[in-house]
Amino acid sequence: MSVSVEEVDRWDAGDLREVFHATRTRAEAAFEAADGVSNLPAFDTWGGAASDAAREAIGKTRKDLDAHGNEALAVARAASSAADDVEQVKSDLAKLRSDAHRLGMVVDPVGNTVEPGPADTRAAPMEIVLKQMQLQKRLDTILADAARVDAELARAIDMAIGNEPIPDAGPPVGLPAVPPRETNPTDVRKWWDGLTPAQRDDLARYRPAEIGNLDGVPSAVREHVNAARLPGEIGTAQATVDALNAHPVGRPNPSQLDAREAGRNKLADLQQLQTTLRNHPGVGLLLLDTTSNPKNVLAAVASGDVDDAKQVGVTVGGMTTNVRGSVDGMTGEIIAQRDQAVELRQLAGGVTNPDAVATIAWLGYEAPGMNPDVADDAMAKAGAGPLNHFLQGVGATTNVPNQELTAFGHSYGSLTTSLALQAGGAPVDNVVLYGSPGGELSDASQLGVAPGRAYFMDGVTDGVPTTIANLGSFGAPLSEVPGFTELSVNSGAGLPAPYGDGQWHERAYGHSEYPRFGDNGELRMSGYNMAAVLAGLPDDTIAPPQNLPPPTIPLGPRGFPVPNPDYHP
Amino acid sequence: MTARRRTLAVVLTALTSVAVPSCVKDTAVNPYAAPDHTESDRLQKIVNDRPDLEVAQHELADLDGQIRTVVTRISPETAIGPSTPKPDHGCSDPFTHSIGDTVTIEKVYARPAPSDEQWRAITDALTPILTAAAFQANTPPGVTPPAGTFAWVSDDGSTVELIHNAGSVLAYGYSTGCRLPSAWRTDPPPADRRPADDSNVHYPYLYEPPGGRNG
Repeated sequence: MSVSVEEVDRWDAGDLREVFHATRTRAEAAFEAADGVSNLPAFDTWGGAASDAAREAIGKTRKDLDAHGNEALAVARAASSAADDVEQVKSDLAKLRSDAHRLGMVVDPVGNTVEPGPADTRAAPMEIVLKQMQLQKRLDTILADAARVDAELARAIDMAIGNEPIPDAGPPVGLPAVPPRETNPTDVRKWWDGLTPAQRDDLARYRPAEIGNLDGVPSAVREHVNAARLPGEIGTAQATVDALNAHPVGRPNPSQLDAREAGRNKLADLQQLQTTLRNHPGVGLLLLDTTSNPKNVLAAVASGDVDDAKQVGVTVGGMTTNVRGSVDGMTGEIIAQRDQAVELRQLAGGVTNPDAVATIAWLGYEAPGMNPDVADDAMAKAGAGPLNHFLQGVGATTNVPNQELTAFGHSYGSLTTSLALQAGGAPVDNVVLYGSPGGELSDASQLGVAPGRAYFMDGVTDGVPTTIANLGSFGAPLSEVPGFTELSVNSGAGLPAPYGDGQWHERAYGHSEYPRFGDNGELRMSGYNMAAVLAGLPDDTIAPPQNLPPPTIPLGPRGFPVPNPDYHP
Repeated sequence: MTARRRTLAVVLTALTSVAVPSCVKDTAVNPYAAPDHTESDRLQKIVNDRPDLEVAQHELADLDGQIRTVVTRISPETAIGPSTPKPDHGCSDPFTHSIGDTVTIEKVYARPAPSDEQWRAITDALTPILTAAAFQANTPPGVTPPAGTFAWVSDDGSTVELIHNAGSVLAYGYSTGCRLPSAWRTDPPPADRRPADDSNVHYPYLYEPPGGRNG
């Protein structure tokens, strides 16, 4: 069907943009409703036959809402594309008119021809014919484009009013390519900032695994995308386990056994993440990587608004840490750490935005189990690169000009943290290593933090930072490395406000108690000190007590050591 | 024996000697490991023996009202925001792996803080109230907390705390500690609150007879 110049003149791209915005809003509302329906907590706790029926109905409702959203999205894309094309046709026509005017010619809007203008009637006939030939060819091309655009627009309208079926939306044509995961997070941030809102939405919808795990993408976007991915990832992992169970192998070989174990482990990792997010509303899933590691899901969870926080802490677990076994405990700990840091900042008085604290539990590497791997630094070295990159990502996405970032590393995770910081480039201001078997460094300055900003803690009776560290497998014990400041793990009270909370904090004994609560419901002294560093309030930290009585005293003529009744560390 | 094997053997021996004082306990080296069944049962019995969560909630809500009344009467200019329960479920150390729940309010930061004189009057007025409710100072025997810290704990795990920074802020919060909701004594917890490896749990949630846990 042909289109006249007169009709093109009446076209308005603005009207089409309105259609685009209206239908896009409709699509987003439908997707949001679908997400909301799928996450209704009632259907997680409701049991029995009625709940099965309800789940089935909810599943159908979700699919309907998703389908509706996809239809609205398809119409939105058609309207957006038509608006772009209309602007192009009108621009080409305006350029043609300008060129024609310069040559003394005009475009006839009704006849769709190029004619001599009033001032050009006395020109030589051959000259007029040559000008007409040149310009008419361009006008015909423009009108052919206009006819194509008109057809596309008609199709969009037919889709919108239901006269034509809407094809499966799929990724929109021209979706920007996502940078590789190893891209510098600062460059990723610039790339993200350069996208239009519609492009960001499309990438989050059609490239969620890449966007959700890309350091440099704003944390809120990653958390939203990864939370939405989680049910699908659980479904995929469950299907994998079901398939393996449905086809049992008589005598499986080692690789088949590994695949079976990996399938079960990854499903358990994902299910535990779902449970943890449900038990701790408000906690975000900053990393959900189901593919990089063959055995485990890698993840990071965050408490607080990471990108708008003035103080941010990242905790790395050590030996035996994995998502299925550790993420729930670590999440409770980062929440407690954040709460304590906020309280110290509130009590300090005069602190701007005292609540602007965020904490992250990073389970983004494979930590050794209780096996020979723990005697080797290979896993720490393998984890150091991703950790360094992640920390750079936190720095790249912050909206706070003077964000203060603290790295916490426990046990083998302290070695991973140390190696990550020694690689350079991570914008870390403070580091606290605790229960450390060693950091493979000879001076704290190698960590890249200012003097006095590197801390360590050795738990009462913890053999890892003493007995094991003294073996020297991972360098000297941190207590012997110049430049480190030791923090107390012993029972005692915090300083009174404004330099502390004045609360009693019990000692941290053994290798596992550092971030935990004591029997009195308060963080242990080690946890309190970590919160003080996180809070950016080093004056609130407690130093180890001086002149402690010896833990044992000699008894009898041979001096047999027995526990000292006055030793209360 | 190569040097590497020797190092490995030494490390593992040392690790074992540290982690295994008398018998293997995962919790010695893994902060997130579940305690063994004996320890789990010991902790669960503590939770089971405490009054129900709703009872503690009611008691703390009553104390909350009295604390607010006292603060407002003595320091009327101090504005105390509402007591809002935290959204988190479950229990914290040492009851992380126990069956139970906790109600803790978001910390309230009241401003302007009472003067030192008003603060003394507030703590003097609250001490008999908390003592009557079977609370005691949350410090070891013989330890006197700093003047600005007024932290109390009940025998069954509830805590109340007020921390004062004169001229700046008064921090206030309370928690029930880990307890059983009353319904969990007669019916199992909701499906999403049961351990992932033990979906058939039921009261009294013990590994030993009369049972209730198998995971």
